[in-house]
Amino acid sequence: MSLRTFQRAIVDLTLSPQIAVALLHGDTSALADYDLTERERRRILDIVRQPGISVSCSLVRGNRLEVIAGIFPMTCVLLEPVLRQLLDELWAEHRPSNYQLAGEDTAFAELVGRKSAAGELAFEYLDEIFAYERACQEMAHRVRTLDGPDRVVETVVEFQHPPDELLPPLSRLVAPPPGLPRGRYRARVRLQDDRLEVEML
Amino acid sequence: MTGLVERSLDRLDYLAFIPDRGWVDRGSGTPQRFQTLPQAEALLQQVVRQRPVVLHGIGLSICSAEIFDQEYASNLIAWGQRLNSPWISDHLSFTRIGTGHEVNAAIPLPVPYDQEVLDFLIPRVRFFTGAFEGSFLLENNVYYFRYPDQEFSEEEFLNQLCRQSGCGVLLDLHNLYTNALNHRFDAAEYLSNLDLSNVIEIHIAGGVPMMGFHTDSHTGPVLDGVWKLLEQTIPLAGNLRGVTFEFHESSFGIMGESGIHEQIDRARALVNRRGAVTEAEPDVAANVPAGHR
Repeated sequence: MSLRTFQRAIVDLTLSPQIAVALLHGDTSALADYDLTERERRRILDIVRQPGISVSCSLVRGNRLEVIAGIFPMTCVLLEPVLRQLLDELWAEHRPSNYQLAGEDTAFAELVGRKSAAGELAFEYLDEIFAYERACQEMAHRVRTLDGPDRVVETVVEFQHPPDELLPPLSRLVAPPPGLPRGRYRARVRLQDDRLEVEML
Repeated sequence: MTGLVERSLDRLDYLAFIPDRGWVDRGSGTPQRFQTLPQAEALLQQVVRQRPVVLHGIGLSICSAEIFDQEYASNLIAWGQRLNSPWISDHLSFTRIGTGHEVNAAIPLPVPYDQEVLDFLIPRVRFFTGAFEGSFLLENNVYYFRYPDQEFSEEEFLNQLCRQSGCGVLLDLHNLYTNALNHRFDAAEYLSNLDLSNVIEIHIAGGVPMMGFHTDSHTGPVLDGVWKLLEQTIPLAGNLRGVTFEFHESSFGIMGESGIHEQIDRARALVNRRGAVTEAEPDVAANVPAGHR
């Protein structure tokens, strides 16, 4: 039983750097929830003093962010000023439940959608770019499981600013210029295997 | 990725594939838990007609005290049998905790090398060696922190595990290089303590510095120190059957396809040199990263 608890403590340490920081500063109450042997307790108190625990925490965050940024790269660019704070909030509540890290992108999208609807994320172009990337996410999930030689899905996305001025800089992970003219634009988005095409309508 | 494999197959003797990227796993106990992804399956079917495919899992978490996921293990074995894989492998580490509602660490974590861990690992490995016709290998893990007061060194632990369970070793020389550099020990001494007759496959890879550590990122070319370790190890590993170059998708931007081919060709040159001293010649392969997990 004890080794199970020990492993739980190690996972908690790497997913929540705050626990390691508390232990490092002598607050051992963080270990009260774990039924550890004296040797296991000594081991945990030893590793929180090793710089490698910070590296492990950073790699965990990097792996989780890679999944999110892979699906929502443009949204992440627009959210850059608050992204770190947003991820801290997300990861304080949501822990990976799957070795494939499935669900990380969906949990991020739910948080951004909720906050955006509540008016807490007032960034120019965010709503339309987030909607565009959600459409791409949905298409990517569909195309993954399609069988046959022609794996193609497509959808129509609406923009409030010219997509041909928004998407090119964002695809290079650069924020588009502020103050682009407002209007109503429609684009057909087509995904074939890994190839994405956007056509203005 | 399919295009790269097609253009590279004539350089490869086998392909190492991460099966967890070829299926969707809906979780323990769910009906039709594993859904094969058509694109990955098409690639595998194309390759397996021309070259052996070996499977390198990332989801078993064989060192989880709380979990031995027999559904996962059986699926991995079934894929290995279906593809006629000469060996299948995973890592000597844990990522998964909890039953019912599982939590994943998002990186492979080390276990303390104690008798208690050895005792629960042996029957788990025998689950594979009893059911799978090929070999089952476990890979030495990369770790950025070390547990004090362990009962075995990693080499002793691997030697005991192989002797008592029948598994083989997937010796990741970049992991060894990384651990030796970060924790300041002698990789050559590690190799002299490890029973190299258990080594069936070797991994080589590149890595990058981060926060004062060297990390196992699988980006870029193989480092000189790793090439030296490969050169030292090949003649001593009498049962070695393959050398695999592991790379992350981002390596394309760093090295291009030609750079990846250079790594494979250089590994082959070292492998061929061994042909003069032993009869059995190991093969050379690439590990295909089919999308992020």
